[in-house]
Amino acid sequence: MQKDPILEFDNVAVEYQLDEGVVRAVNGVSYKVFPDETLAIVGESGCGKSQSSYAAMGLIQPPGRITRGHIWFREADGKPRIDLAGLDRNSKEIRSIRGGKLAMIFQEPMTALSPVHRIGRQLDEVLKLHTDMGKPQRIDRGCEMLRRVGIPDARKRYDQFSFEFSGGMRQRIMIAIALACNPRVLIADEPTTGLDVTIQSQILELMKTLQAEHHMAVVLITHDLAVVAETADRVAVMYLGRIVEMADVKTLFAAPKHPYTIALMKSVIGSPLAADGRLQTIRGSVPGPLERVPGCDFHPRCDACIPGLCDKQEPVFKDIDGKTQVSCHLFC
Amino acid sequence: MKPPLLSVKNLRVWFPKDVSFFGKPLTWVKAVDDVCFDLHEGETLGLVGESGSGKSTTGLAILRSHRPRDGSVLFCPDGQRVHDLSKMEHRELQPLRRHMQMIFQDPFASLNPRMTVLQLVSEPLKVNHVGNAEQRKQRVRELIVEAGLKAEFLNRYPHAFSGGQRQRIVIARALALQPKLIVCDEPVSALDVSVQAQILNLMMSLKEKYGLSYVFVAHDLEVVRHIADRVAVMYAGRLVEDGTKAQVFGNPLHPYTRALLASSPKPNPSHRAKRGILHGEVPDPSNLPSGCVFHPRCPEARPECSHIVPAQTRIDGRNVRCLLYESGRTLTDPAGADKAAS
Repeated sequence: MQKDPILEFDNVAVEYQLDEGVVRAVNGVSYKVFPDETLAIVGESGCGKSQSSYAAMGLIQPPGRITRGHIWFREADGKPRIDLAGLDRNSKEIRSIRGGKLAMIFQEPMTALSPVHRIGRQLDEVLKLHTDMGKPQRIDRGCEMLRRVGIPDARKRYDQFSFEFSGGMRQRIMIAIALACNPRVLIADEPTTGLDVTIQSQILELMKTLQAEHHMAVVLITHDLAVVAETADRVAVMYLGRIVEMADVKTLFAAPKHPYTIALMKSVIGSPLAADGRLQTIRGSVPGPLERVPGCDFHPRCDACIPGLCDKQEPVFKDIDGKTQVSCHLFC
Repeated sequence: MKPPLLSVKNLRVWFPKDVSFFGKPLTWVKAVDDVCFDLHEGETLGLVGESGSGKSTTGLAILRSHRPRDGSVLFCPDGQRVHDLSKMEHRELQPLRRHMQMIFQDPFASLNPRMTVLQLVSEPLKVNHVGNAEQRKQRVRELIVEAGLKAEFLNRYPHAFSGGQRQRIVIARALALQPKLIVCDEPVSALDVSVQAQILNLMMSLKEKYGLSYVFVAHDLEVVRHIADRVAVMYAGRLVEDGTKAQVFGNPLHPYTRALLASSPKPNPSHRAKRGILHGEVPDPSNLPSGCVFHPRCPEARPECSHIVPAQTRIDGRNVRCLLYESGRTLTDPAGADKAAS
């Protein structure tokens, strides 16, 4: 083992206790992220990909809570690891980590920035919380961050409001805020969704450059397999709160194992498995959040379903050939 | 020869921005400026571009949701009589409306939450006085089955459906009057990939079955590559390049098309390459650059690009709007063009 993982999910579950029943948003997710690495978490809406990252950030709001598992986070090499799952979402410990060593960028740069505070103040806030710099130093650092993410005329822009920036510029500001304290892990929740392709490639390139400079681990949450193919090192595919398959990006796209991953790849135009004419689709639709099926979550939509096994017993998530981890009875 | 189903000529849609004391517009937002293209029966035209490029406005102006400031929209639903939609009054347009329909991006916003599927899909039939209530109900049943929904969903409200199912309702509604032309404004961009594939498949089979023509407005190049026969690329209100799918995707001529194709990610990690990144952002449509609108971002810009507006140039059955290709001028660096095209 070359390095210790910075962030490690160990069988994490997030549940929402509602009047109508229990929603299992995340249902036993385990993964590790190492320095310099980009792990992409992909899945369709409602698969729990965002919820799992909110769990790490301590952003799960009641009635939701982390019901089991550990989220190990190592603030610095050699330091003991902390279990984020055990921390209260308002505790001092999580506050000292959140936004500092563990940073996040959100999907909508329009809503994630405050419209009534100058962006300088929003940048200043993280520095004030996580560093002991004085005011002039913080302003310098803030302007430097703006320059680093490619915003020209940084000192002037520092005193402007978020509505004075375009969507791509706002996402750059979000990145500047997230990276102001040199985080160890950056969780990027759909960082380029809603941006134009030319702006998207600018932002992805920027994230890559900054990652290499800081040896950051990036957890990229997205539904866009094209973005995954371009940026990720490893990929975890989620379906209904579980990781169904995890592999390095080339293996996953060239030889997906889990029937859901295969079906997903076939429905993406331009992927190695997709046909030219009619696209193959997955029959049925994602079940509602309160519906739970016994056995494997995917069996009602799966073409390779083994009656008597898949609809009775839950598959185990395990390594099958040293490259791919799958949760499917076909590989047991 | 039969006239094209739709022929857009020098279309301009300008919106007044600042108005003088007497109500005379002082400055304009030039959302669509001098756009020309043809659409033949049974064809799909993919209209691509970044946000603010005027692709949706073009789609809406065809259906006369916006009144064009200039230019013409020639529509010929029966293959004989040509109507200029841009000049018609609303009353004259009404009999033609049944031949052209619209599918919007957000299936959550385009269905009235207080109407059942039956009411939603039968509304166009009712407005056009087609059949009696019983016949209409029968027709709606056929339509929603055609669109891949179950007939027993007839009395449900939109909230009971997922995004993909709602888009199917929208499609059923658009099909109700057997239109010739459907303008689709980002019909699949709000959907998950696996659902996206279902809706695209449905749209393709309906097109073959009914000989529909689509104007398919989208920002996702992969989707357009899949569904379109012809592709038109827009930038800052201008149509910079149009041609067949093979021409535009296989051998893009305009520097913007090349940059757009290069920056669009491909879902295949073995094709990962160092991409040429286009710097800067789309210009403000009320304050467009002089000359060619793309010149401040163009990697191949030359001094004359900042003051000469390029004209539409026809090369091998496709149109390009770039000084590099205007007659009398030739590419100074053909090797560079080949490299970018490959």
